[in-house]
Amino acid sequence: MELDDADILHVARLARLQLTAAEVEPVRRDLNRVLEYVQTLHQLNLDNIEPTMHVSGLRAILRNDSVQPSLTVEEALRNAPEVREAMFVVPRIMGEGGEDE
Amino acid sequence: MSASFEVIIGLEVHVELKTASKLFCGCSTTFGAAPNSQTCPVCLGMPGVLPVLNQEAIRMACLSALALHCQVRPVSKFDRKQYFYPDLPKAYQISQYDQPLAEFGWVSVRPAGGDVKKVGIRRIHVEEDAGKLNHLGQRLGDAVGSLVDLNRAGVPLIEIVSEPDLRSAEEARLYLTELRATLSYLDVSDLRMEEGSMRCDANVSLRPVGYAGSVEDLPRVEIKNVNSIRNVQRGIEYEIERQRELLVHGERIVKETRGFDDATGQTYSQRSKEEANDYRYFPEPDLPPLVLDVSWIEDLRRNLPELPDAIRQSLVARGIPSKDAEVLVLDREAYEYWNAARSLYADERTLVNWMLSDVLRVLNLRNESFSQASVGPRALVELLTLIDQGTLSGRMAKEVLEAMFATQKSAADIVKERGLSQITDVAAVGAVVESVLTSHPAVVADYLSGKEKALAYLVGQVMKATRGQAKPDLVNRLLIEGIARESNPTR
Ligand SMILES: [Zn+2]
Repeated sequence: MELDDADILHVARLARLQLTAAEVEPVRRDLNRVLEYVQTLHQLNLDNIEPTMHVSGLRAILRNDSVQPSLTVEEALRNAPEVREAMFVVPRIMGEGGEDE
Repeated sequence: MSASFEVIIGLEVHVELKTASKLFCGCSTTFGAAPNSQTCPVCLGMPGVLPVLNQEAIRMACLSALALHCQVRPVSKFDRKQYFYPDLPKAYQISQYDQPLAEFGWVSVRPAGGDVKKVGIRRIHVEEDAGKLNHLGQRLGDAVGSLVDLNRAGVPLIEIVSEPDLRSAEEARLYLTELRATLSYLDVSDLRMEEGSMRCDANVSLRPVGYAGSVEDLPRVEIKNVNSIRNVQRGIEYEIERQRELLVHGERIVKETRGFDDATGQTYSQRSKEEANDYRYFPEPDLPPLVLDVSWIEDLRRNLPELPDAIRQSLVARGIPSKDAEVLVLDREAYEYWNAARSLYADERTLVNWMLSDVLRVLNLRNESFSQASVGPRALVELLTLIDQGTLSGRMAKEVLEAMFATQKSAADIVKERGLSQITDVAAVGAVVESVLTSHPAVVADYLSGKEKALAYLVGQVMKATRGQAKPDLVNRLLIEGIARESNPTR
């Protein structure tokens, strides 16, 4: 499969990247080369090979449900560009692109 | 044109698990703490941190899945769901996509006058909650900005996704009620919709009769984040009618997300979902697969507590009317109150009557629940025992119950203090009966001429004269005997 300009613009929008018209073409070329490289996999015979769920081969390690100290509110907010009532201030949320769950 | 449509509803329910710490870090989950006081580099989404799964969250999620008749996967995995929203500091949510914790469950619902219906559960997965946004403005639409509190970010959730098996708003209500009751017996969540520890999104579509395609292809409207079961029902009712109107007039249903306005009972468009969500799920590289011991799962299954279906059956088998049984089953606190009381008192039907009429009425007035009732099971049983012993009439006992709630004193103390005990002495009641009969000859004549109601009036007069303390059945008997004597003096 080969990505076209529409795919590039869609992916860019999802990633909140603003591409200029001049940038679309080189990005498309680079991304297509990446995909082409990954498609090398198709040349392998994968019959009877279990899909890999995780590269580490480990199982999830579980921890006990014990409360550990949190940061102080001051520490938590230290990098915030704007704070009000001990909360992060974010600009007006536009109606699209979000998901509140 | 025929306007025949079948209603298709599926529900997605998010339930916050009441673990002490968050899903992937040790921050506390206590509700209502000062904003941003329960955060750390993990739940703030700082670079370079690693999530570590909370064992208790997994236990609670499995318990819920088993109670809802799901199959728990021995191996499940976590995935990243990517989207940008200010309540999600990492810009992705750790969730489970193609290999969820559990699948293929069901909840039974009992529509009035209908058969028990099994509503399928497609899947249950574990994920982290997002933070909380406080919009500066009335509504999201006209907010000038928002304030973000990340205390809730990372709190463990399970999402319970039903099959699109529900066919009415009422069935949706029954499903949610039964689901909540079931989970309440597991102690896995506060289940408070008004506080957001249980949240429901409803997918509603109408299927024209004769439509042969897949339900999934019907234009679907999602009603999001409604804060009570009652409002889920209202939102769905409104949405069914709105869609029906559109279809009848040949218009198209737009696939979208809608909010619910409590004040108007209407849903309103929030955003169009014409463009399919593109969350770009991919396996969470920071978490290896979750592998559960099958024997551990079986242990959990064996140790499940008694659940609504079994409780219902045992209550009805004990002779509790099914309507009362239903109230007890759906309110775990009431059921536990009942259980404590019945271990002290043999007449279970009388007990349930008192609980669900008089006790419940006073609880509602005082805004108490059964678990915090000022008059506990033992105190109630003491009161009922005084009735059985003849010390109190039922009517007097109701007054005493209210006084018990108000003063926290025992039934016996209130009876003593107020000199309330029932007059059971035949001579004492007989004297009052005689005087009432003598002073109401016309009423007696009415009764003799066949007006049954006249007797009730005479009973009332005796009760009035004894401040309600005469034993009612004794009054009745003595009145009838007295009238018989007067009308037939030869005897
Ligand atoms: Zn944390």
